[in-house]
Amino acid sequence: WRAPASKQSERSARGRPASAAAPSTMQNRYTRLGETCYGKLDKISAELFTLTYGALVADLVRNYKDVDEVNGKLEQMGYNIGLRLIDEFLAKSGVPRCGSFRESAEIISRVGFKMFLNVTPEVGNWNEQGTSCTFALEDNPLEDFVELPSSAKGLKYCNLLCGVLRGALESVHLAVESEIVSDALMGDARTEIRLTLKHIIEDQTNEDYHDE
Amino acid sequence: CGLRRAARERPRWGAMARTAAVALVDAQNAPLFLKRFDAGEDLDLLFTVHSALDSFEETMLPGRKAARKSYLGLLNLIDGQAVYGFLSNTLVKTIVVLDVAASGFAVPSDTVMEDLLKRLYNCYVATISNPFFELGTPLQAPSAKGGDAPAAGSHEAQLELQRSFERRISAVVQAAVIA
Repeated sequence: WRAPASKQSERSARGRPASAAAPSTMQNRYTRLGETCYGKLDKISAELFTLTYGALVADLVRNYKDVDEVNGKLEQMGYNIGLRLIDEFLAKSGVPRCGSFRESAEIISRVGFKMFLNVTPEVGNWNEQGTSCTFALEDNPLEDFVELPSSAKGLKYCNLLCGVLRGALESVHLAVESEIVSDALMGDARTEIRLTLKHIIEDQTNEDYHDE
Repeated sequence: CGLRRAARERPRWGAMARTAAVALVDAQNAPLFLKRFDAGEDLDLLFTVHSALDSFEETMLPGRKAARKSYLGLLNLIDGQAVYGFLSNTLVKTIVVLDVAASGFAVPSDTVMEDLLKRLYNCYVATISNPFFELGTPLQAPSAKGGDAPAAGSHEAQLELQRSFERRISAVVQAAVIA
């Protein structure tokens, strides 16, 4: 029995947390799961999706002159999509309960994004408590061919994705805040979404409910 | 002695032909976009492009439609200018006019020209695929006539996109090495 104990001490001696070995296998497991699920789902043409989203955003910009209102509308639409998408996601992927927010983030990136958008954003920039991270999209299928005119300055083109994250996670009792912190269309290197866990939603029972 | 002088004056083999102009013409043969890269009259360019359109028409005849490829190659060689054409499936014609007189009438290879024409056509595709570009607005930015106040929001946006299209085309042409 000495062998396991020495491995444990080795790991802590190197200064890494004890679960350092586990995340990489967990990550691989989720990557494989993501690829399998992506393989099983029906596909549509990427250009069709991009152009449809583009038409949607352009139409919103034309109708609501105020850019902030458009951002709000996109987020709201995303929220409604997320509420429904989570059921599809859980049904198709069958992922079990997550042990931590870190695990949730990995699943969102490697299984969720992979299944629906065929991209795997890089999860990084964790804060100290492990409750906030960024998803960095190197190559964003929503933003192909798009060039923002200067009249649409401040438009968060991918705000729909933020809404989807918020809606989907709310359905699994995680209250989160998601926002775009850097946007490739505004000249930054890549598009990044910051996801912050606010609190876990407890089951709320009605005040009138009495245990009989 | 006279012969030797002529030999010295003749440009070396492999000197590059310069792109004189780029033009895009739509399915109804109306000009979409014209740009000259050398000093010359726009009217001359229109004439050159117009005469090249006949070659496009030939490939659109019922008999030849089936065998037609997008890249049509060298259409015309007049006045020291070589005209190359590319016909898309939506019948949008991309035309490049090369100034070959300077390089001793050396005509560049088909692969190089096909690549250039495809890249120019892709600039067009990228610009119209932009969701903020209103289809039907002209691709050609209106020539600056002094005194025009900047137009309302959406017109400004279209103007920006027109200018960005022009920049893209220019970038492709600058990057193209025609040997």
